[in-house]
Amino acid sequence: MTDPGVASYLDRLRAASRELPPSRREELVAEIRAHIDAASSARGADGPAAIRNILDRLGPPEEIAAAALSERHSHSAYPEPGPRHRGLSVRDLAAVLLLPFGGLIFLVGWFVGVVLLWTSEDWTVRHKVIGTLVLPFGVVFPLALGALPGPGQPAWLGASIFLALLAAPIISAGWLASRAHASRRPRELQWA
Amino acid sequence: MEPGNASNLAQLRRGALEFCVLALLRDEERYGFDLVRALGEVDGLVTSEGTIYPLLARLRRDGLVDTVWRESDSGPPRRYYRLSPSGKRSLAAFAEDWIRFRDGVDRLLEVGR
Repeated sequence: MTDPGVASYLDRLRAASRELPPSRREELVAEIRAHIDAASSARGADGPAAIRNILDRLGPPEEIAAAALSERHSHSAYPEPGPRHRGLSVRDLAAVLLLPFGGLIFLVGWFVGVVLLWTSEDWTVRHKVIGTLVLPFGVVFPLALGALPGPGQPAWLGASIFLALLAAPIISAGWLASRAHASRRPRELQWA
Repeated sequence: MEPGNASNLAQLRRGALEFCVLALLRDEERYGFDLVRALGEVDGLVTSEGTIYPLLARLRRDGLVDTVWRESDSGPPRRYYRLSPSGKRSLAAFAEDWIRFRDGVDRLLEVGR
């Protein structure tokens, strides 16, 4: 038997948590329902007054739904340093490898790297701009240039420019790899 | 959010609450209602009991607790919570920081009197 007060309480909870994914919403409703059942059998009284008291202690359904929504995006103040919080995701790793070297795959690989870079949430816009501009097509540009004979150019100068251009995209990719997730850290350190 | 001291205290309470949950699970596994009842015995820690459940969901998601369904004598199966190895480390780290924080604040409050 479901108390009408409980039914309308759960309806309000369901309505207030519309923005949760359906599976998460049903799980939350089931947990609150189980709490009400456990509380009413623990007190050995499931009269209307006892039920009202249980619902009062649970708090407004809207408040529970709001907590569920905000918890979805928060993390523990003491995150376990593990692969989930530190290190690169597979996507980020692909971006970091494709930016310098993807151009060697018929130039297309570099574009894929750029898309992965810009669609990732682990870098700020500043990182993304630098990652894109240093250097377009990665090592392809210096490799193609280095193959050309430099007319009237001292050999050491050509070699230095070649090495610098070759190193730039690799260094920029390494820097991106070390900066991934930097944009998330402040949020994890918040208390609330 | 209401301004003033009440809100500051609410902020502190919210930050400490998840570690109170972890601390309750240090020596034994408990199910949701049992946890809520134990937290409710600490004066002023929980205002709306229902908001514990979203917190438990996050602790599950972050891997700080493990869960297992067990049959109950009365009614449907219950989801039991226990501390995971990573939850244990997290609790130990917090406990250490908390003691330093508490002692520091206590000292300042004593000085001010």
